Amino acid sequence: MTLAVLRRGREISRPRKRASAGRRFGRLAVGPATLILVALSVFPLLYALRLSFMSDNLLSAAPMRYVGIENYIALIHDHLFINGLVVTAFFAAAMVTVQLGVGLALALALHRLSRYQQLLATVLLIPSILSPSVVGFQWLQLFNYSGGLINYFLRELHLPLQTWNASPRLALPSLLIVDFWEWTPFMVLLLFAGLRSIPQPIFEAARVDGSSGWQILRYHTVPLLRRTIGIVVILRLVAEFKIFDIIYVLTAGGPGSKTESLAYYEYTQGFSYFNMGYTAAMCVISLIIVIVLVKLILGFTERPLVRLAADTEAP
Amino acid sequence: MIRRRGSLVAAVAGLAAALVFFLFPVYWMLVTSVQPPKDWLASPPVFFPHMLDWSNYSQALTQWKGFKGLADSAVVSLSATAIGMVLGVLAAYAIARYRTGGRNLSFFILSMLFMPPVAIAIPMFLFWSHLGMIDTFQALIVQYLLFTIPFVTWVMKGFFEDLPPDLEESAMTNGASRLRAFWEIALPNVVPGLVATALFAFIFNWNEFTFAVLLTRSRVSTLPFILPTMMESHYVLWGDIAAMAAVGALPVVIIAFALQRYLVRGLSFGIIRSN
Amino acid sequence: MTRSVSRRSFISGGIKGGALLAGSAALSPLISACSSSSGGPGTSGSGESTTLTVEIDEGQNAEPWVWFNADMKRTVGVSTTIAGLPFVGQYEKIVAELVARSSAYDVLVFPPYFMGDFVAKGFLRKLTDFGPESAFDLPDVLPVYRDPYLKRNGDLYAANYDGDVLMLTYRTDVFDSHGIKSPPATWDEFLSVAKELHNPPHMYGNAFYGQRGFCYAWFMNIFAAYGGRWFDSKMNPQINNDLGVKALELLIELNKYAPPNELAIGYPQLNQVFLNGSTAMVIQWDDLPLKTESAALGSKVIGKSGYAPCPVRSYMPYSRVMAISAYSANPHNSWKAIQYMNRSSISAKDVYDPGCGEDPFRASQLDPSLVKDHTGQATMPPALATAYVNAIKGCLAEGYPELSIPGAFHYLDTLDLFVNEALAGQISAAGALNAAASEWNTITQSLDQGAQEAAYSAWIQSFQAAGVSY
Repeated sequence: MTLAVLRRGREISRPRKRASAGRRFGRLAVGPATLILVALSVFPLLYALRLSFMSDNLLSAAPMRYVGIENYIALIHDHLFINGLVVTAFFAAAMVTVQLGVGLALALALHRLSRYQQLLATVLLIPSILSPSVVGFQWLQLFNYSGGLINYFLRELHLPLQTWNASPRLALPSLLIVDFWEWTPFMVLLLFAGLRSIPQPIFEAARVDGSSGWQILRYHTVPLLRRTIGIVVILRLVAEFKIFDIIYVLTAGGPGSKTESLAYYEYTQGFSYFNMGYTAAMCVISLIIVIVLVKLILGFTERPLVRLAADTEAP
Repeated sequence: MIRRRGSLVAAVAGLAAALVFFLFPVYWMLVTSVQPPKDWLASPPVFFPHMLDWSNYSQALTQWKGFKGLADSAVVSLSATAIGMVLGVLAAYAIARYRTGGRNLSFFILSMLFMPPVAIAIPMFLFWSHLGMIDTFQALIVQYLLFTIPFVTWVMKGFFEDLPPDLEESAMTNGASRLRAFWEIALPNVVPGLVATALFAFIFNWNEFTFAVLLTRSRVSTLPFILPTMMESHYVLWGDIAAMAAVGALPVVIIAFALQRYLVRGLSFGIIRSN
Repeated sequence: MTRSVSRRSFISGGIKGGALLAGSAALSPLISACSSSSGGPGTSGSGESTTLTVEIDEGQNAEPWVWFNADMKRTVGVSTTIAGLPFVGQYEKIVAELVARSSAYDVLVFPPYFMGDFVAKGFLRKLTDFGPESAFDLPDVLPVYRDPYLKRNGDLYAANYDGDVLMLTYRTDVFDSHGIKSPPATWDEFLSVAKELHNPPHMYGNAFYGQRGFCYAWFMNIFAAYGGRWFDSKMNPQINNDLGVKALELLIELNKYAPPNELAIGYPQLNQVFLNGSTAMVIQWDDLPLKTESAALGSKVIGKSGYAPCPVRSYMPYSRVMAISAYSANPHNSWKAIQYMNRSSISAKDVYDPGCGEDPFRASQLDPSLVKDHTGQATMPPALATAYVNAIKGCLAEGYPELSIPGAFHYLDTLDLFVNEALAGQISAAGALNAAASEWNTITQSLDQGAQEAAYSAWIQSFQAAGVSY
């Protein structure tokens, strides 16, 4: 059904005069938004790009000078940059998959209910509504070694106490827990909305055919949700690459550099040391990585436009 | 059938566990916000305080300028969301209906969301300070548009793409202008989507941290800016922080609940189905 | 078809954007004239505002400005509002402001290790531009806090607000019950005492600042005791020699006899861990003793603490000085405010108050009868007050200076990162210090080797002239 609508939208033919009037309207409508975006983004991006080829330390008495790709080469040897990449990649991979999995499970659970779905979805959404720094402080209190709730429960259960965000071993997992707590509800809401838009007859038909729950999930639900999944994955992936607030509050990149994400390292280089050129080079690289990843995902999810029609037919 | 009931039990159990996991820290934050300092990290913890101590709230609101934080956040978020919605919806319509800019423009707008704020923070800071507009409302609002417009455009594009253009077409053949077709036909049909989008945009603006910290000082101080300054002194002021957090979250939670009807319905129409 | 449309709209959009930027750049003088900040209502005869913005790290250290605001208004006709910055993160916020030439701050209160950068970049006005040097009664300031903290190239840029030195605060009752007669005088003794008293979970042997941000200072404290130096005369780092590795390994060893969440312990937590009675010895800033005797702050160790200089050398991290921002619109009034707060009569009232973190910096303040809070109430019984003041004197007699040349923040924060990595077990002590040294060389190169050598040598001389052995 979706496919047919889209096809029609693209193929409607109009006489030339209307076409150019349409284009004019379109450009007028798009104009203000594009203008602001370009003004706000092109300048800093070009500036950052140019900076990445210079040695510029705002605090140095020496003047800014052109150094070519020196910053980029230094980055490759910088163990903190590599560390940032690893931490961020690990974070993104872990969080996107886990949040997607649990989010989907909960969305399916919501879908299974016949009442209170809306209310539950909204109530569950609260963690995602809170400000990230607020979430950070909340969990800082929960993780507190002597007075925090988590260790209280551990103590009651006679389990060994943990130092959570101060522990070299558990600092990163602690952050994962916090991020998971904060954003899974968001996933649940979007996935649930997606589930709701799948026509019921599909499920009923499959069930009448004798498919088990798992088969329905695998051959019907997930493929039909591919668009939704693509969107939530992109949203979360992009956000995880920028992960900063909770690290700032909970661990300050520590212990050592165990939780120093790419964004946090960029912040340190740019805002603590004011190494502008170096930071700019880092930002350019991380931007390229994200663009490539998103393109990949978009390609993956936009492809099955044709297959969609096939999916809705009888298997 | 047993299989169906079994799945219902599993669903309910799973949701119950989820509710506890996701809501208990919120409950704890509320409890902390009404406890006196001695109970903040008390061991064993006080789960059900007998007396509600509201001094954390009065301190958060006055000493830590919570009222101003609320007001400033409201001004900035509402303005940025409103402007972003107007511009974004227009742009989304243009792209959806007239394919303006093609895939390039579409991706360009989407890519605004990729940028880590840190990447453009310094150039933007220098830009705004060169204009002498640090610590102004206008600067922060315009800065927030950088993320609000792409988000609104991208999401609303999906909604418009999903709306069959037939009604608008027939209206235009009957003499209506494109603007009227947009205003009187397309828009009313995506109202749930509009509401859901506006709500999420508002939430993101309300909670935005990096630029709030960067571009504000004393004349403008949104709520996210105030929080990190509260981590000092003899000990960490958990109660005050919890109170400030509650104060900051309350307006948004209220709005979300008031508009919950649109949340799910709005999202399930467009963004999910096509892009 | 679609391509050409998009390119056209792209270009037209770009042109519009460029026009916007160009237009705003042209308009900017106009806009900045309209929106420049300059405090509150009322101006003095010289055209300056009498309400100033004071930048300082938020929390207890801003309190003295609040306490004395009314009297300052009465006495010198100036009042202040506080712009509080977070303790960790203060440097970047001030620099971001000053690099942008913002007039948001009038008075800057910051640690002297920022001085090298600030003076080099012209962020500060000379105090002597607005009044005589004699107004600050410099002979009364303890030598170690004077010229090295306040002057660069012979010019006076700042006045003292707070004098910091690390001090050993320990539980006298715990020492007594274990038959330990006196506080450890060497680090080997310190380690063995910590080991002996370490009895988790009831009592932890020692605690130190383990968080990212200032843990480097606790490393330097030990390194100083072993005779370590920052650089040699050619700006070659000296931290990664044998003494440095030995010092860092000792700190890592001490971590075994510390609370389990040692790596999450920052300034307030370090206070807490002693005040709640769970730790036998802490090396902490010298304002802790005032808090140990304060019931109001929840101390559980009242009457049970002793104070001593750190073994062999006491490192002097942080401290605070006050200066006038080069971009302030109210420099004369800022000078008045600074001079007021710096007066011995005023500052004597806050350096012994447990409600703020300020510590003595004047010779006239090292008087046990002055150990009172800002309302005049004694904060310690006389015997303890005497012991406390003697301990401060002892610490300062063997004080070790904190690096304060251009780039200091960068050097120290880099060291802090690697020390923290070593504490977290990510890297060996030798590896950490070698990495830090290598990074230090990069920093020195980027700041111009010759200039750094000159700055370092001038800085050392100022300390040696103040009587510090280095």
